[in-house]
Amino acid sequence: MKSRQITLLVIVSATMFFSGNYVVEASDHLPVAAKPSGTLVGAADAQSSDNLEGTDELYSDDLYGDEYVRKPEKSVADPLYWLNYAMFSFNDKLYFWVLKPVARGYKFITPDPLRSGIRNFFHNSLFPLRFVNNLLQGKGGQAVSEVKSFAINTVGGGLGFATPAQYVFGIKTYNEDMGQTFGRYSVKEGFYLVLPLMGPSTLRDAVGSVGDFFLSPTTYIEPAELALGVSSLDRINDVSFRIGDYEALKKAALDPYISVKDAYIQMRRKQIQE
Amino acid sequence: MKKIMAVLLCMFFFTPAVPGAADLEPEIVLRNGVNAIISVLNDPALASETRKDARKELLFNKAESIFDFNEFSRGALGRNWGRFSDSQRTEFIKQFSRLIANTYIAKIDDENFEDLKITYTKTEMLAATKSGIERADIATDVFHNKVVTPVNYRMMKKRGEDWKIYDVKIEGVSLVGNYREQYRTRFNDSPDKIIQEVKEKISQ
Repeated sequence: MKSRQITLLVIVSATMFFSGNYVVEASDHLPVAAKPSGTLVGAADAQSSDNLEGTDELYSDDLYGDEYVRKPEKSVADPLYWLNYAMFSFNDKLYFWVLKPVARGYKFITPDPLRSGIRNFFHNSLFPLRFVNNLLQGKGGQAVSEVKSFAINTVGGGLGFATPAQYVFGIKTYNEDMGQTFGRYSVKEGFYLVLPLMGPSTLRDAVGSVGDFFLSPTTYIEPAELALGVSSLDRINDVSFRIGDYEALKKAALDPYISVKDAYIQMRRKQIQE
Repeated sequence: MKKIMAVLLCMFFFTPAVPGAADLEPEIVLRNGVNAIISVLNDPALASETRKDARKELLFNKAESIFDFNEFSRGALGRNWGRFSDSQRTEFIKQFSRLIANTYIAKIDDENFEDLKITYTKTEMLAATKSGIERADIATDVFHNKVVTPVNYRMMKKRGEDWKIYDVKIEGVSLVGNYREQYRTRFNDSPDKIIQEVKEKISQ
């Protein structure tokens, strides 16, 4: 167990080391895109502004202005595109050939209240992760809510299968993870990554998920086979609530790879902002 | 102790009803539009298999009355918009709105909408644009299939027109922004090719 964790750390730090030059490269063209302007120049990259100079007044009513102008670094570099694309295809097949059919079968045989209970249980068990990251981000009030929720749901909700903290006391929980904590301290995404099984990520979030790994109770389950089983249950149960979402996104997209990438980046930025 | 209880009870009962945070105009327009769509979805007379197309058409019309598909299309194309001629723009808007409507109507069509609940959490007026278009951000939580999804609507009001939705953000992901990112690197594709691509996507 120990050596596995160390190997993982080594791999991640090696990735960071070898990809260091990409991070610099990616920030190279930032100044171009960062041109201060009342229109949407900031949203376009250096190449397209060469091509299409002078069309800006079309969007001068800056409907989308506040989002797309003031964030010059809107796009996240994708230096590992081919590798990422291969992983994306792999995950896509994995979803349609394995995850989805399994989740469907699971949904069919598992009563809804049980599925909800399992989801609540896993959510409750991730209390350490949320608590630590709320604290690290200086969100004291939210950390206190987390403690209350954990205490009430663990004791009064049968290890978190039920959520009296939410439906009786109206206490909220706050999903904060290590990637968001880094983001909170102005660590940039680095570059885009698609991880096998786990899906879209960035260098920053991938490093963060190593920290999250150590704060997740499932990590400490022995033997490893049982840990794998428990994690799989968590994943399948989670997917069973979201069958159809990925399909819809893919169906609506002209370029699913970019659509997923952008959705991930937008979602994470929103989470960090909150 | 009893006194305190009595005071608390009085406070509870006599607190003036929170004045609805003075429902703002865009929020009312949105509520009405969304309710109209939901009532079509829940209309048993339209639920039968034979009336599926009629229902789809009705949903599209209802959607058209609160969504500004022109702005959707323009925002999605981003800088590419400038390369489109007037007729190409009209054609793109027509096809693109079909694509969006098809995707989402198809998705809601095969789902059960009885447990759908929408709460309007916050409406915020945003600064108007330079050309005087009023804007608002309306935050909602959608409860469906035991999942809560935050959905924000961006609405705008041009002078003399109604409030319309020009962007939707689901879990913080802007629909228009997502398409814009997909089209961002397409400056070498001809407008006709881009329109053709949308058409093919619809017929898939």
